[in-house]
Amino acid sequence: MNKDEYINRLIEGSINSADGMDRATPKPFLHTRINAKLNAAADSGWGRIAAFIGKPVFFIPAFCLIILVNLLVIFNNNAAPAWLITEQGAATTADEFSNTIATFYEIENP
Amino acid sequence: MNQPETLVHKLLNGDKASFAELVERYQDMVYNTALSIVQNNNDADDITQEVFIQVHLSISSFKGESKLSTWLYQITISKALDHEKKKKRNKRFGFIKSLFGDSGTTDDLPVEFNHPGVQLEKKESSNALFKALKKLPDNQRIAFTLHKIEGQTNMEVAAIMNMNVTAVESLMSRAKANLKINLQHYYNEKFKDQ
Repeated sequence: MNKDEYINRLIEGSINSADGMDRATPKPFLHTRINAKLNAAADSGWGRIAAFIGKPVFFIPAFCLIILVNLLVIFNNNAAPAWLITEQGAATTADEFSNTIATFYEIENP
Repeated sequence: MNQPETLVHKLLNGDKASFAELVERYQDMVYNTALSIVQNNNDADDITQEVFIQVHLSISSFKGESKLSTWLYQITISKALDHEKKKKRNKRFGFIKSLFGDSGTTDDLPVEFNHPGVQLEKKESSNALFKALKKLPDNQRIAFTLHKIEGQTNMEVAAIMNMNVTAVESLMSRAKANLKINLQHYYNEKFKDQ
């Protein structure tokens, strides 16, 4: 048997080595360890808070509220008050066309 | 022993003995799947615990549309893949951590993985297989693990992976082709001086 044939047999053997493999088992007392973790999470104040925040009943309305507040802030900031727009418009026009009376000299010599 | 549907029903009613029965019945399945993916005994043990904790906390979200074992497989695969990503991320930042005096743990060292369920005469070939498996894309690796190591049918694999059977068959054939390439590299490297 040459080297290539030997390697091909090893490849096939490797792929087939998964056949008939027994299931591995975890360390003993898994249920006890899980219960200990569950109790530890439930006992800690942060765990309880996290569990409450994670509940859809709390999370979904809270998320919607945050989005709503953000939208309100965005739209309120975009819509500037009317008096400000008018005042700004008038001042800008007066500046652009220089129709303001800046000095007493202009009053006497229009 | 309760039927899976009865078990779920009892769990929903907060029956503690049913949770113990669930752990007892499915622990090997969950652990073996996690172990085949992460290839580390301690990590697989942690993942197994996390899976059952999630089952305990979110049993109300199980609608019974799929088999209980399918749901458990899905949680296990998702947890195992997340665990791998987290480990890779930690490895990437290992250099930065070492600059600040954290030398890292022995978990980061690459160790030879030997699946405890493999027969003694197949140890070496299965070792090569697990090395080659690590290099496969996630979906091919999961399909191969579920089908060949866990012994699930293509239909069950399709249900677990939310795919149709044809897609699973195609994944399996690509997984085998890629495994052959990876194993060819491995053995060529091993016997290059002979």
